[in-house]
Amino acid sequence: MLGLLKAAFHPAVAHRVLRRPLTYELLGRLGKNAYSRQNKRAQGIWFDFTSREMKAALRRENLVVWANAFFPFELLHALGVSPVHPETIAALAARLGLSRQAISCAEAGGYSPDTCSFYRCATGLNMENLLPPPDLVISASYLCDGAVKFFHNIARYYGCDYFLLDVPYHDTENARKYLAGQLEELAGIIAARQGKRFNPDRLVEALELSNQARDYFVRTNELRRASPSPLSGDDAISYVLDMQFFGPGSRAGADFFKALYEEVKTNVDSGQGPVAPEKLRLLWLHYIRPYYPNEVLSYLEEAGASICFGEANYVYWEPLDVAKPFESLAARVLANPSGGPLERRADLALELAEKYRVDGVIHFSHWGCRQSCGGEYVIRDLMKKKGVPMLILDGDGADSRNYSREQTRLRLEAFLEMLEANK
Amino acid sequence: MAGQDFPSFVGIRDMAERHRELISRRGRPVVGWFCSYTPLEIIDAAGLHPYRIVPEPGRAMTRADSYIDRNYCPYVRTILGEAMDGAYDFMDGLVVLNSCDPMRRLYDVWRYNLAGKFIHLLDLPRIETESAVAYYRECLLGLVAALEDRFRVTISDAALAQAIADRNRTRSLLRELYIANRESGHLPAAQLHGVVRASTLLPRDDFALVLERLLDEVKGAPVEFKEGPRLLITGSIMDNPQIVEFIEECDARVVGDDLCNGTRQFWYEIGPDTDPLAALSRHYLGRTPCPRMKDAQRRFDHVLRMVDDFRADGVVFYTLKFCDPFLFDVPLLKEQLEQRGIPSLLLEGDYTPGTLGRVRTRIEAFIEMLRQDVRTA
Repeated sequence: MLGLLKAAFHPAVAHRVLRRPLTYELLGRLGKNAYSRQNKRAQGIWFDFTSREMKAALRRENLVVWANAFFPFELLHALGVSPVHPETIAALAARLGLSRQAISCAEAGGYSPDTCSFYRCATGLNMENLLPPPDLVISASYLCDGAVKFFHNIARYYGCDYFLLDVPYHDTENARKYLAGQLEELAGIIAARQGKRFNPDRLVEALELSNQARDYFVRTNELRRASPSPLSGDDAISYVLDMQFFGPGSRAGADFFKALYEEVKTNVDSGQGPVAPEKLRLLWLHYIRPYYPNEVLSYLEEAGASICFGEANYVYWEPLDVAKPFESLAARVLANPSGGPLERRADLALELAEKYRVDGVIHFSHWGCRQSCGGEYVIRDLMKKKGVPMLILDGDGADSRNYSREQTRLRLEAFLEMLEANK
Repeated sequence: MAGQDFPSFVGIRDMAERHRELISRRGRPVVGWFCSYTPLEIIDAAGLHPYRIVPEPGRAMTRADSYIDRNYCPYVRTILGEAMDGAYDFMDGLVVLNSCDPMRRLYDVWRYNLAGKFIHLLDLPRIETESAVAYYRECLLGLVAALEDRFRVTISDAALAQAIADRNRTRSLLRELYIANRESGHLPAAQLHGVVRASTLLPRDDFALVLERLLDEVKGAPVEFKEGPRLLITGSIMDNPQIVEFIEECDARVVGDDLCNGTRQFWYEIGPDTDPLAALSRHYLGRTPCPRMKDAQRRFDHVLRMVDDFRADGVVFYTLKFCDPFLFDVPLLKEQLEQRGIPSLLLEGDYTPGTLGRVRTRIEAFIEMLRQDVRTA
């Protein structure tokens, strides 16, 4: 489906097409049907969900709110705003071959090539007037210094308010109270902007939907222990992750994870998987992977190595308590293993390596990702002590200029050879 | 533009060179700190000696290669390299702030490779609302408890109030020194930088006495008008004062700065409050902001005000490589400066002398351009 899109969207015509709500309505319908026919119902739901959100934002049906991937989206779904998530759009732009031009545009505007390419890409797309203008901009402050700044600059660009959810480092009672208070304040701000009172029932409903999604997601992750791995790493770190970030709290989110569970279950029951025979099992560390046309994942799969799990897909939060909605959303945010001390992320990586019986680990060191790259050597050392080889793969998620096909292939080849020799 | 060497400056420079000896003479346990948001008053009140870790430039960073990614904050990399070489073994503890991703990873990588030392991670909000002030006060209380526990001391409110008063005195003296030097330029900028640096190394009482004398000397010296473009530097950590020297060798003047290891450390005094921790919380969240804070415009306004107050003709953005918060500010602040007719130049450093040649060429070109602007004006 995305291939078809790519053919249709020559950069020269993209400007006209991408700004039209109708484009997303048609895409949503087409995508949903096309994916269903390929037995990829979950991906169809994601496609429809993302298209509908873009359409609504372009039509300005509701208050348009830009927010980042680490913000608890349940709150936004409960408030009925039209969310825009620029990280998704940047990844899609990369996939459609539109990121290079956007990135050049941002760099010409003074944005350093040392910053995260997703934000440079989104900045460029915005400068090219391809994105729906926001009424309000929100970001969560943890895991990414760049996000705090990118979203600020977007708010400045449009002269609209910027709400920064200030996420504490430690998960303490005080921290939860402070964070929950901010979420409640934000709910009031958005409701006031919409000219209505905040409806707590809607939030309870969103939390219930989020819990439904969570339940199916936990069960899906359990199924992913099977060999051959029943879900492709490519899918898991693209649309599944996207839905994990932006779907919770929506009906589509709950439907998506149910459909995903069913697909994965069918594969497990029939002993099928994208990589069969599965010679090697790998764990992927990082929230992203390269989204522009590249050979990283396809090369691994062709070599019989499956990305059987990624840290990004781990469900780290407890079911949300509908009796304490803001507190439980705060607890969810504070439980993120990439927040707080590195032990949290490292311990999880070790636990996942064992649980999913992996032969090796790939840490994708996305250019410009400080929280992740800052801890990679420690994690590699800890893995080594457990006898699990780890490859630190330098790369870039959205800027294809930082991708060298030959060099990457060489490194992957050497790593897989080593893993096979270890077996 | 070699300024005359004031006797007190020579004294400060000598003391800074002997700082380890002076610290050990006082006999207080040493607590290392990195980020300019560190509430030194709490460390003072505990009877400890706060010591800012800012490595000298030009040290080989290859030592850090085994511990952290090469494409990483050069400040953090240099610190780790030096720490692994035992450069900070004389310290009794460290306070790291959750100021940015590299800082929190410094805390992690340090602990993993150099276990055993007391090391406290102090959280730091990015907003300055009343609830953030209240939350940060609780975090400060956590630091108080951790220091009390580790060093078996009691940090009383009275001791905190005294430390605040003492530090405020140093802040106001340093600020006065900048202002006194603004027109005369008696102290070359690199020397002024050295004075600020000494304030973060030396025992506070030793330093305060000499600082007062230096201020009197600078104020008493005859004012001479100096020509040439006037520059303000805004940035992260200035790793290499040679950059400031280059500027002044080109017959331009660095009249002021907004640097992490410059005025951001002391520009404003801590306001009065019956609760000293509340005073500290409010002060640090509201002080001259680092680009990490949410409210970038407050930082821009501060820089613009400094441009006016110091009558700067141009601004140099100086940042260590990979500093995301600063890099995202550059396009916006550059534009606001342009709207006021103030040209700017972006320079990046990486803690190695390798980049100095290129930096020098760019500085020369920028100053030449400014000189032409001044002439045509």
